[in-house]
Amino acid sequence: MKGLANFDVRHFESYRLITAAGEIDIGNAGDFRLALQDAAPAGIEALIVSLADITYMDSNALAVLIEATRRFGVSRRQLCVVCPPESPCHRIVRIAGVHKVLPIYESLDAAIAGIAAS
Amino acid sequence: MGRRSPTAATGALRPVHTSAQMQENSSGAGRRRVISMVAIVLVAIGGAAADQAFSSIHLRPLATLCAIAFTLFAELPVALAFALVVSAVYSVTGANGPTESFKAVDAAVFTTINVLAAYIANATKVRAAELARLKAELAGELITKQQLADIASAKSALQEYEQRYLSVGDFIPFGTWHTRPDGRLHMSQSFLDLVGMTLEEIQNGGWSTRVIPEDARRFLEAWEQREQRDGNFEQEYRVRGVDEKLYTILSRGTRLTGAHGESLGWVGVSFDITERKRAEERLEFLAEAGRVLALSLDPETTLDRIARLCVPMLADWCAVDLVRGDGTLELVAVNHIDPSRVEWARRMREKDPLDDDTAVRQVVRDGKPLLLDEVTDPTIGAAASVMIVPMIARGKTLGAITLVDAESTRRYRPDDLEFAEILSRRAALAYDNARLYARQQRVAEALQNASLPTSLPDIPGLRICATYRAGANDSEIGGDWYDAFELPDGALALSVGDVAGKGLRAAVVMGAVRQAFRAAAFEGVGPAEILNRSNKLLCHQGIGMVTAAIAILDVESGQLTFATAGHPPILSIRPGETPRRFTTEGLPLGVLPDYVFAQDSAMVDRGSLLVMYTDGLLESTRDIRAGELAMAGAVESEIAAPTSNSAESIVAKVLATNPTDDVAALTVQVAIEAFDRLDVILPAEPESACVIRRGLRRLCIAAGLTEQRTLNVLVASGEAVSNAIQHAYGVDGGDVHVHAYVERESIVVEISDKGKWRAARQDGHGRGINLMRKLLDSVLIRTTGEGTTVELRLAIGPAL
Repeated sequence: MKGLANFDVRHFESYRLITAAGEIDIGNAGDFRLALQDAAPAGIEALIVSLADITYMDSNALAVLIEATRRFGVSRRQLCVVCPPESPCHRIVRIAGVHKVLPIYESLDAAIAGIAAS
Repeated sequence: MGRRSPTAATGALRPVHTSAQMQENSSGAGRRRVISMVAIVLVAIGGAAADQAFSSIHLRPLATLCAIAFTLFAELPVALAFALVVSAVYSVTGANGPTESFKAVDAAVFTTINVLAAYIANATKVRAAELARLKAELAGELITKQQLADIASAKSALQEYEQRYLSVGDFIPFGTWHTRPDGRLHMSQSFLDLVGMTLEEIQNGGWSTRVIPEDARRFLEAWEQREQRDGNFEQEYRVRGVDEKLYTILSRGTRLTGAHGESLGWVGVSFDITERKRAEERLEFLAEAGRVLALSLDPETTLDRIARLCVPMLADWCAVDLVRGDGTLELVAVNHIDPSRVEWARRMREKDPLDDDTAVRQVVRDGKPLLLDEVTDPTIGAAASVMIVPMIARGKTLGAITLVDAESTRRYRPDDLEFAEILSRRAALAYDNARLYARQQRVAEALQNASLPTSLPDIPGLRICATYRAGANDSEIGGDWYDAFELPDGALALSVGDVAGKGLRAAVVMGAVRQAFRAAAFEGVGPAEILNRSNKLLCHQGIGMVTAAIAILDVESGQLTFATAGHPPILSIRPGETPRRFTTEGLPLGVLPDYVFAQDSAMVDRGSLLVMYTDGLLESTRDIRAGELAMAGAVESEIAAPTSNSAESIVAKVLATNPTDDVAALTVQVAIEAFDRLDVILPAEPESACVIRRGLRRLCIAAGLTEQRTLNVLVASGEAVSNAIQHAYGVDGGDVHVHAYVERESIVVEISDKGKWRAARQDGHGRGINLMRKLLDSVLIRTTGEGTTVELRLAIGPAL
């Protein structure tokens, strides 16, 4: 079933913002991966991924985020993952224990500040 | 008539001449008689005087002679009076007897003699007159020289007239004919020349060998009954000339009647009406062609009909070539006068009987028709005639029609070419119209297919079915739709609707309205507000009128919220009951921009069947009431004995035949059991994960789990399902079985596959299994030779 999730990309001066909304599972994790790649092609130094509007995600989505973090690290670019407290994504990230691996920010503002600071 | 005129003319002159003669004769005779009678009287007076004067002579005999002579000229009474007078005079003058008594006797005898003489003379005169009359009568019977001359001239006049008549007949293309009283038929030389027969051959039945048999039969039947008619005869027939051409002849005759009403035979004229007939037939043909071509809206059919039309009216065989996009010609239709030779004609045409494809190509290139005479090709025949006319519509040459006259020996003439051009223009236009129409229909169909959902929501506990049927006239796509989709809160949104109008435009409007419904529904507004917003949009865009029914079903509680806009009610039925009708008052959409729609709600119990449909179903009969009854009957029988596709089945039951209008129907069957368990088997494909999650979410909510615990169950189950999908099977694939239920205050989810994967060894799955363990109370993984089952368990726990 298509359209489980929407990936909306917005361009800013110093970064790009991709907002994922809906559900990410084994059926559309591939779409999520492509959306991240398309949102930040070579030359884009910073990408913020907002998971605030995600209602469901599992290890399929986490695997995409971990892989993206590694890629950004290798190319020395910055990736920020926004997971507000008490949101489904926040709980899943914490329960899965990947909050130590992923560059998690509690809000969009915090993520933007993080980019400006670097 | 012609034969009678000469005698009538001479007969009219003779009586005039005769009566003049007779008048002249009678006047001369009268005068002579008077002179004679005066002379006799004078002689008698003279005699009496002489007798008185000269006693020596006796002139009494003279008196007798005078009496006789007078009698010859006068009528009998006058003659007798004259005899008495003359006797008295002579008795006085010549009385010289011996005694007085002797004188008296003498006078009496003398008088008697004279009277007798006069009487006898009269009798003789009468007799002589009688004889003379008889003699004259006899003389009248004999033919005089003059009369003989008259007869001769009349005869020659008659012959002259007949000769003129016959030569007129020879001059008229197919001449005149007449029958003699003895029944023998005579026909003009021109007719004999036409059929190449002698008069004797014609008289011995040769006529029918040349005439088209059915025409001959009809003609001869009418001929047999000619005497029963009003004296006129008129029949058409087609005759094959010695030149093998077919002529249409109108034979018109009239009966000749004698002075006493007897039949003298028939006389008539044969008119050549071949050209007139041809013109008539062509007009009819064009009218028929117009009708036939207008009927077809399918391009292929149109071309086929063009080929059929031309044979045999215009050609022995006919081929239609079309210009393709790359400029090449493609033979698309062939017809032959002999059905068994259509294939032959096709092969011939492919080999190109004209011996140069360039002829057709030239016509297509120049857009000008070609008339080829004397095309000598052994495969066609020696004396074939060929016409090639371009098919031009809207200024574009679409192809060409080739008309070949191979078997018969008609020879195309310029006027045939003109006619073929007219036909070709009409055919081209019909084809072009059909093509444009088909293209538009394809677009409309594609749009409608794209607009109707390709898959319906798969919601455990609900069975959603839908159907769409195009109208009987399937060349017109309608604007009916159905739609069913899940809302973010898990509710089920349902809609059906009908756009006024047909074709591409209706399909476009339908797509727009359906999208407007979806957009509003996803914003979380209710049915009435969805209609309000869509109505404003429709009115603003001014794109047409739409009727619709929209309903939102809360899957958990069974509450149905609905609103209708000029649309038939939503039906809800439970087994053994009659349907309930859910409807709200509402105008169709697109009429009044500020109209405010109302909504209502009702509970849909377990086991119910919801039916939404468009009015094509009710209008299948002329009587709407009867349509509603048929609809209720179909719904009742469907709930009594459910079928695999309730929507399809209900439509089939209501519509005995194809619908006249298009029809869309949507049904939702609510499961009878309470929703306390889930048991689904789905293919081990990534797309199944979402379906399983939907069912589990409903079960968790129904079981009273908090949102957080529900998410835990969903994520843990998602991990297990992902493992089954990714690792259980090879390329052949398999199924994943999910069985979930509530047991001792816990929700239990069993996810099984029949594949081979070893959880512990698989890299990456460790994280999945760890995650499951962190999310839930217990995770059991059982791997057997049969496959693997993951059993997940989480306490329902206290509500927050």
